[in-house]
Parts: sequence; C-alpha cells; structure tokens
Amino acid sequence: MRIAIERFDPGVDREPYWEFYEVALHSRQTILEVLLAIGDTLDPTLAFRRSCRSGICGACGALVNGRLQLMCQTLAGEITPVQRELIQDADVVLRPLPNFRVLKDLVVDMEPFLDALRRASVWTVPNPAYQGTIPREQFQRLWGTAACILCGLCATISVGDSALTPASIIKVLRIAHDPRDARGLARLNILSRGTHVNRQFVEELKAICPKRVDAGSLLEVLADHTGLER
Amino acid sequence: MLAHDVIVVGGGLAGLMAALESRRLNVAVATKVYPTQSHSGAAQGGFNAAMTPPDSVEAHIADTITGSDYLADQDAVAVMCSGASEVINELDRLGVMWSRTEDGRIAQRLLGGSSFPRACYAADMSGHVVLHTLYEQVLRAGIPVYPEWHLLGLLVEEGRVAGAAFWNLPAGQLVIVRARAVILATGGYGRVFAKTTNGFGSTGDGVAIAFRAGAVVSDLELVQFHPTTLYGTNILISEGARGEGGHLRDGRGERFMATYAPKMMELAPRDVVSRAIATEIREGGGAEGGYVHLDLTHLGEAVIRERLPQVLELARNYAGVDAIRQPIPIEPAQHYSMGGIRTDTWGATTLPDLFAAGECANVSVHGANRLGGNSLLETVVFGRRVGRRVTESLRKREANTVPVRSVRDFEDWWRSLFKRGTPVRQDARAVTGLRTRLTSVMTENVGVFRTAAGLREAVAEVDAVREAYEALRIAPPQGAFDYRLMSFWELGFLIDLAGIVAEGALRRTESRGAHYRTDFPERDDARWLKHTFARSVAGQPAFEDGEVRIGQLAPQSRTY
Repeated sequence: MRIAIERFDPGVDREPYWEFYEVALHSRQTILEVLLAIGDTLDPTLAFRRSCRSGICGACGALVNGRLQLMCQTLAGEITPVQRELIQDADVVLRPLPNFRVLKDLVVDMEPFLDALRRASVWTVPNPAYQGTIPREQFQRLWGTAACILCGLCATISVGDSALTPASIIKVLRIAHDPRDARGLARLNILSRGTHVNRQFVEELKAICPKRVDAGSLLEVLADHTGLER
Repeated sequence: MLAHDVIVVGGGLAGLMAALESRRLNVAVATKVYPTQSHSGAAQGGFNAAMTPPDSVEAHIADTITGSDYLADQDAVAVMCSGASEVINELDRLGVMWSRTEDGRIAQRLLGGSSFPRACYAADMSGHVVLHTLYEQVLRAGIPVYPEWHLLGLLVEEGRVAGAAFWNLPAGQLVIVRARAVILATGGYGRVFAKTTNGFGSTGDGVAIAFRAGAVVSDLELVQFHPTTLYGTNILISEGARGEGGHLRDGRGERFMATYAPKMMELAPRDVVSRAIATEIREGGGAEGGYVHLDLTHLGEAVIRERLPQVLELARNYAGVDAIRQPIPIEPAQHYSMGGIRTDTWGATTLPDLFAAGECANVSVHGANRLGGNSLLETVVFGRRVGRRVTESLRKREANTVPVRSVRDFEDWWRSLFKRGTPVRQDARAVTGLRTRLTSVMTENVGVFRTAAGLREAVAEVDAVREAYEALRIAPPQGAFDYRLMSFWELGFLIDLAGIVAEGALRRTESRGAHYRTDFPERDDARWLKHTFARSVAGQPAFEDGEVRIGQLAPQSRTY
C-alpha cells in the first residue's frame, strides 16, 4: 500500500510537501499502527501524536483521505477511496487537521482550541444548594455530551463566533444545565445572537464527532432561555 | 532557570489532583502528553467507595486486603478506604458525570473481589469523565501546564531533590526547573510488556528516574494481568462488563469459572480470573488461536448501550464484533503496575523533597493484586494527600540549595548520548529492535505463569539488551517534535524497570496474588510476607526485604 503524508516543518521548510511511503499492511490494522510502523523502521522524523490507541484520548486526529478521523479508529481496510484529491497513486492520503496551525507534519497547535475553553470558563463553580441527587431525566440530558475527548475534529464547524469552538460550546451548554453549577444559565450569555447553536449545529457535530457527542437534548432548554433559534 | 515551589510531573488523575491541592503554592504541571490524553482517561470500570450501608469502610478494607493476598500495608488501605466517599462526593460537586440510580443518587456497580456493589462509575468511561472534570478545574485555578515535556532526570543536591530536567518536545530544548518539591505522578510501566492494555506513554519514566536518583522502589515484580483484553490488540474491555453480568466461555461455549472460583465466578479478583483464562488457553480449552469469549449477548441491547457503550464501540472497531449479538474474543494481558516508588501514606518517598502518587507510587494499597475500582480511587485520594502534605511542609521550610553540580552532571550525561553523523533511520531500527526483544521476553517469561528457568532467561536477555543499549549513540536532536528521542529515552527506562521486575520475580520464591511461580505454587508467609525493596547501587538494583504493615487482619487463605 502506498501512503502519502503532507509534511511540513515550519522551522525548516518553506511550504508543505508530500512524502510517500510503501508499507505492507493487513486490513484490520489502524492508520495509527501504520504510522507507528513507519516511525519504527522507515522514518523516525515523521511527527504525529499518539497515546491511548483506543479512541479515548483524542491525540491522533487527522484528515484521512479527506475525512476527519481519529487515526487509531480508522482501519486500513475500511477507508474510503481518495475522492477529492488524487495524490499521485496513493491509497491513503494523510493531512493534518484543518483549522489548526501545523507545528510539524501531523502535529498541530492545540493551544487556541484549549484557549477557547478558558475563554468560555468551562468549569463547574460548585453550587452550595446542590443536595447530592440529579433526577435521571435531567442527568440523561447532560450525558449526551460527556464523551467529548477534546480531539479538535469539530473545529471545522463554523459557530459564528471566532472566540468559541464547538467543544467549548457543548461544555458551556452542559455545565449551564447542571444543577451542581452555581452560575447556571447565566453562562449562556456568552452565546450571542450571531452564534449558530441550533439544530444544524447539533447534526453537523454528530456527523463529525468520533464520540458522536449529541447536544440535541440541551438545545431545547437553551432555546427556551435565550430565544436563540432552535 | 525556571523556578516553581512545586513541579508536578504527570497530568493524569493523581497529578491533577495533587496540583489542585497545592494551588496556593507556585505550582506547575509538566506532562508528557496533554492532560486529557493521559492514560487515566482510558480507565473504564469505576472508583470504589463505601457510600451507603449495608456496605462499609470496614468491608472495603477487608476486601482490599484479601484481594492483595495480604501484602498491602493495612494502614495505607485504611487511609484510602476511609477517605473514599468524601472524595467521590467532592468530585460530584465539581461536576463529574457519575452515572445515577433511579432516584438520582450516584450509582454503584459490582467489580471483582468486592463484597458489595461499590464502584462509582460513569457508564464505562469512569476515568475519562473524572480526568476532564479535574482538567476543567485546573483551567479554573489557572495552574500552568507544560504539555509535551518529558522528564529526563531529577536534580539531587546535597541529598535533597532540588528540581528536575525535562525535554521540551515542541521546542526541541532542554529545560531545567528549580523546585522545592517534585511530585511524580507519571503512571505505570506496562509498556515493559509486549502485550499490554496500557497506552504508549506508560513507560514508567518516573519510577525509573526516581530509582536512578536513589529512591527506593518496591514490589515492581507484582504486575497485574487483566483478564479481558481484546484478543490481538490487548485493548481493555472493562471489568464492568462482567460487573453488569457478562460471562466467560471457553472454546466450546461453556462457562468455566466454576472450576476456579465457585462462589464469585467471573467476579473473582483479577489474578484468579486471569490465571483461569490462561489455564484454559494453555490446556487447549480456548478457541482456535488461543483465546476465550466474553459473552454479553444475554444482557440485552438496552443495558449494553446504556452502561457499556465504550465496550460496544471498542469491540466493533477493533475486533469487528457486535457485542450485542456476538461474544467478544479476549485474552489476559498486562494491565497495572502494583509496584512503584516507595512512599509513606502522605506520598513522601525515601528521597527528601521527592513525592509520588498514583500508579507510579507504591504506598502500598494493592499488595500483590489490585481490585478493580481501587486504582482510580488511589489516584484521587493520594493525589490529594500528597498535595496537602507538600503545601504543609513547604510552608515551614527554607528554599533548597540552587542546583548547580547536579545540573552539570545531568548535562554531561545528556551530551554523552549523542554522536554526530549517526543516520536517524539507523537509530530508529536499533531502538525498535531492542525494544521488541525486551518486551517479548517479558511477556513470554514474566507473565501470568513464571518459572525460575524462564525468569533467568529473561534476566539474561534484559542484560544483553542493556549492554547493546548502553553502546548506542544516537544523532543529536533534530528540532521540534523529534519523537525519535522519546523512543530512545523510554527504552532506557524500560530496560531498568524490566531488570528489576524480572529479578524481583526470580527472587520471590512463592506464589502470591498476581505473581504465580509454577515451581513454587504456594504462598509462603513465613519467608515472603515481605515487600521487595530495590535501590540503585552503582546503577544496579540491590534488593532487600521490606516489612509489611499488618493491622487487624491476619493472613488467611483466599477462597473465592
């Protein structure tokens, strides 16, 4: 199998370039395993993040044949053919996550993405009135967003406010509706009328998110409190 | 030179908890990966805590000590178990998405070796939700985090730890940090083994570096093998799957645990269940290729989707199995490092101003076998205690000596690693080759079943790998994100630890908990109701026995 990787080292290269590797692989191997094999034997200068290899740490997001994926969740035997861009005769084309600054090869700068969490104050401020129970229906509404792994794949979705990201928004939505938080619905004030937090946002997020985060149940409450369109 | 009162190394549960608890000091977290990428996030099952009667702290203590095969220090176990419900409730107030009972309270499930449903959980993403909540609180507290910094060494000046040396991977630079205390929360050393559930970062860096700096490490030979990891990839399938009622079945589809643990069956402690599965596979009772099945099909789709969504996804993604309709092929694999840096119940190591908490530490609350649900609990209870202890002790004391000589020594060592003109591709092949040799012999000979002959062979192979490694010189750093360097350093840590694991296992001529010697199949309390202490003497481990602190519970035979 021929694999094409967009490489770029801002300290050295003027612009990104394609590098090709020939690798033997079996169909149940993940793209991350392919990269590890390349790093172990062919080219240790190839840079990519790795940690859990089971889809829970969010370190290995990339564009795999034009699709946003976690590389550890993408099996070599199941990837769709290269559609939009034919890079010579490569079977697999890997590029860094769009909407991020490239630090080296597939490693991107996560800091702006995490800064958006700081700007949106996505942390619970304990509510002294909380008595230790959360009704199950209320809990179920919050649960849909609990699986977010901060991988950054959602950063391609436009939310209409450059200071926010989908990940920061879903965390704000969740905490604002959590009885354990003292600030509660006042948190929603950071969502201005120009913000695209609506049904379309929820659907786009579900389609892209590798953990299928679903903010649908939070949206209804949001609409009631802010007058934002559903 | 960067200076902090306290530098916490590691951004998982223990590290973040320690940092939050010492936030009144000038504290920072240096971590090999981003905090939310830490391996704590992969923990699935839950956090043990006796929350309501009829469960009790006493029952939790007793289960933990029996589970440990009596090697846990009973005072440390009491500290952990009696602090459990308070910390669970505190995490709840901070927004942890604990799963709920019908009446809205924190739900609990049964895990192996527990006499009550005691594990507070969040579906099967328990580590993940707590890790993210603590990370949010670290953002709230404004604690600086230095992501992708690799710990390379501790700076010891006049017998005290006075700072640490890191490789800043993004910048491609060495960083020396002066600190009045260093807290290690660097996780386990599972990557010593070829077959492991652990992520790539679990290379025991902190344990090896503490050992090199002169701290006592203990019980490294006590390694947990998890019964249910995906056949082939060894990705973890939570004990929660058996807690919710999953069955183990052999190659013919028959349940087999009655032979090994007639009372607790699939929910016996992990050492018992892993040995049962390994025995079945070894004696030809497994399915073709050497595995058994974890069967969830009788639980029904609704239960699986609500309580085991990640298990469902992992089985589909990595085994191509629909767990609602098909059994999951599984095999035991390394999962947890019981041993670690020896600490007291406040996280202090034997080296002044060096502290440790979480999987890298050995308090010891797990003894020879950890119960499911106790490691996550350990991280938050002892992470918090070490933060408190450091805050308390720094209030009283003068600043340490500025590290000078130790920095010079470190930099000499650092320069000795490199040789200009070495092709980088050659580096990678050499490191990969040695790592494969090391981890293969550890899995083959130092696994679920151990013998003197196999262990001697492992010790010899580790020595041979060490010799080849020490002769290796690699090309100098190549700028930003040079992961080649990381592989090189990690291999050095793995070699040190593998040697102590294998030698400790050879030395312990008995079977206790997860350590099973087929040539010494009985527990031997007269000789071996002891910890294994190891300290570095001229770079080599010198072993001695350490006392086990027994309390109320005298050793008895374990029956499940």
